[in-house]
Amino acid sequence: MRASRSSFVVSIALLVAALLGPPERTAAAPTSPTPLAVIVGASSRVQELSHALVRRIFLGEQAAADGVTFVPFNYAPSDPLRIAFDLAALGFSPDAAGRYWVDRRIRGQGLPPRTVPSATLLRAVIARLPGAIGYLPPSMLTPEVRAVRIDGLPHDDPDYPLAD
Amino acid sequence: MTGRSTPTIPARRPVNAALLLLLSCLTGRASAQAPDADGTLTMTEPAAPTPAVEATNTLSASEQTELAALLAQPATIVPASDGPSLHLYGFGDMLVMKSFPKRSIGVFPPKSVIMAVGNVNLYAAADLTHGLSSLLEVRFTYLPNGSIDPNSFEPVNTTVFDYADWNRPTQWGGIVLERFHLDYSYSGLLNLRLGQFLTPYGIWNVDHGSPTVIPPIKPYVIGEQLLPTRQTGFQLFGSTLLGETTLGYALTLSNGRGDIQYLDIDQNKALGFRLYASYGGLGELIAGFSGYTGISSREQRYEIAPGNPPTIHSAWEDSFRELAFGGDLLWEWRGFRFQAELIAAQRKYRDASRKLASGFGTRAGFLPDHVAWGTYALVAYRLPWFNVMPFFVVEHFDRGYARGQLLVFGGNTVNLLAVRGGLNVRPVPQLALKLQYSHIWFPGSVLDLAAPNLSFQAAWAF
Amino acid sequence: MPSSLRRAPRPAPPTRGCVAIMVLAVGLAGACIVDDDARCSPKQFLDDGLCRCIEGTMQVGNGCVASVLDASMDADGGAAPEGGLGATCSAEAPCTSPAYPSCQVAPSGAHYCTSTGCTGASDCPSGHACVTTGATSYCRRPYTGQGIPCESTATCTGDARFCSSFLRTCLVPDCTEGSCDPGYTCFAAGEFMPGTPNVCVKSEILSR
Repeated sequence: MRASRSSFVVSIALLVAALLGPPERTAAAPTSPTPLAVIVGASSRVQELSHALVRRIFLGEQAAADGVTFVPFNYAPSDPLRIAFDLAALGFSPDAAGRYWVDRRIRGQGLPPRTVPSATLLRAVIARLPGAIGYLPPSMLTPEVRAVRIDGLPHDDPDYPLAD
Repeated sequence: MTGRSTPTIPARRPVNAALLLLLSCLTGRASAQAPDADGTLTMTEPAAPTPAVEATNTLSASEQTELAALLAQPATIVPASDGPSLHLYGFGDMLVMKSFPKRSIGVFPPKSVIMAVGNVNLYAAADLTHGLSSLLEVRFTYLPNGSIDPNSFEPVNTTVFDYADWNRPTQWGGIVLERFHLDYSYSGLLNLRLGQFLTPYGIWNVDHGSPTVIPPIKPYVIGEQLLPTRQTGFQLFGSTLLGETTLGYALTLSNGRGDIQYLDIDQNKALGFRLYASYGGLGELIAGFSGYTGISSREQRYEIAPGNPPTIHSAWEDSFRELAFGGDLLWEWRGFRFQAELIAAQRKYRDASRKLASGFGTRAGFLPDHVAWGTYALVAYRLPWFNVMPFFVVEHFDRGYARGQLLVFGGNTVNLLAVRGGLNVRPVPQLALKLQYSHIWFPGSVLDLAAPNLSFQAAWAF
Repeated sequence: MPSSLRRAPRPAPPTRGCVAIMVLAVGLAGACIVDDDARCSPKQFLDDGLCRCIEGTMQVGNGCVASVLDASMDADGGAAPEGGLGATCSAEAPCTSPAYPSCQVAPSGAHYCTSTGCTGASDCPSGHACVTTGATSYCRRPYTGQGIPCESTATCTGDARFCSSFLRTCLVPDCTEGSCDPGYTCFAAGEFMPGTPNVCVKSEILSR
């Protein structure tokens, strides 16, 4: 029994080792610390959000303001902006983010936010869709969208929480 | 209903032990601005709309097309990704297991290596319109083929001749309807669910999918369904953010527990609830409390009492009133995970409806009113290398009656103590590889059935 | 890892609502529907962790009834209708009901009225078996006294007149294949305990 038990353990261990590959290479994060401005449409009345509420919105939980439900938009999982936001706002590494959304779907708690392929398109959606919310590098801000304060801090504040 | 994660942000501020015990009531500092039900917001009068023509001109032609498509679709609560609103996905698993029992009773526990596809679950999720969504989850299974009929104790064989394959024999299986419900979301705090749903209690029952849960086998107390796994009826649920704490609830009204999901044979509805608090300031800390009460009945037969005219009445094989409570705690912080549940269920049988039990060396008798309880605790840590997560689980179950007796009919639950340890590896988010060694004791049993067990499971989401 | 996170604000003290939740949780958890002093039904007692029928009663279905009664009587001990199914009969007092004209004798020696002409158990009242071995088939009533706890045969006064020292319950002895009540199986106990007759036992307790 000992020999069969040991050989069983060894064979399973070899199988696991064969299935494991090298650690998944993550997409390159931004090379310099850059805040991410959380944006809403210019016509929105929202001026400030708490970090906890931003987290709630982008974790797929429902939130609303002034009778309008927040509709979050995101980037593709491998996009550097997405990776930076997941880390700063949600505390997720790319693997942790992937696990979170897989687990959430299995629980039946809904699907992840919509993804858009570019920051330019995201900005256009945010500007036009009531309740839409997303994030951009501050250098891409235009008058059609507004960056909201997070925990009372603007994106150019040294203590702004959503910075890599 | 809760946003669970594996946060990697550092602790913001030390919290003493006393505050930890009261975390279900911790609230963060409210915003100095006007709060609303969903958290901290500050709003002003809207600025004059800014013409977007200039911004639009920066989009490429394909992006403009895509923009039009995005704006044309309804802004649902969790918007569907591009394409049809029906989403198909699922999960499955395969288990390889070997037990090392000192002795067996019949074929339990089995001594040979077992390899089996366990779960093949398919989801169909749809956003019907704004605030209205539907979820279907079905499990494809080999059952009933190979199982034991609980009434006749004979094995079930579904071998038939396949007309599409030269009438060669084949075995058919079945499906298990895990859940099918319609959700209407009025707000984050008020959502209505109707249909068949997973009972919203604890942690494991909602996680339930093999890629999501850490060990390959569910704790015994969860399998014993001291609260039923699923119900058919109505559920109100919601949550709200107060500072850094989310408070949530769920209320259920259903047919209750039973073998037949579409009947309420004892005409008695069951009530359930869950309250939880989730604190995001120290990783993610969730504490919850759940309850359930109702009458459960298994109808064996209709009896005809002689008379003029004869009368017909139902005879219950197993009917009891139950009151169950459960507490749960989940803490995830920097890769560390602690998860525990404690569940207790009281059962008071109706006269002439007690479940009959008998076994080896045991005179036949009826189950007394009792309190069954069980608990498990899991500790795990996700290492930064290969996403390997060592875990350790200890669990205990007490059925609340006839301690020490091995009942093979009727009272078919046991008193159990189990210790498990292993590795959970997620090389990619969709795949979980699990290796577990467990040792199980049956305290007080007249027979020594302690059985070490080694299992490997591959579970994947698709 | 983000390096510029703002310090978290001091948590506010528990709100009244949260305190109420805690009180509710503790209060609900203390609610109890199980009475430790009365864990069994009437006519039952708690013995070695299970509820068993008290002396003088027998298991019928999922409860206990007085053992001196026929199983065809109701659980409260009401007498069967005169001349009806299960009614007492004799050569001097034959069965008078056209539906139950046959006077049969049970293993205990008791006589009872029953119906004839059955072809299977489905033609008989609930719990009755159809006996086809004689010239005229008839519906045999369930054996009385099965499952009564016993220490000696003296306690087993019904049809189940054998006291099993292993199971410590009254069983119907000298059965043959097919002669037991529905849900029971004739078990050759003598193969395991020499000198023990074949007895009717609940089918579920026999291993496959």
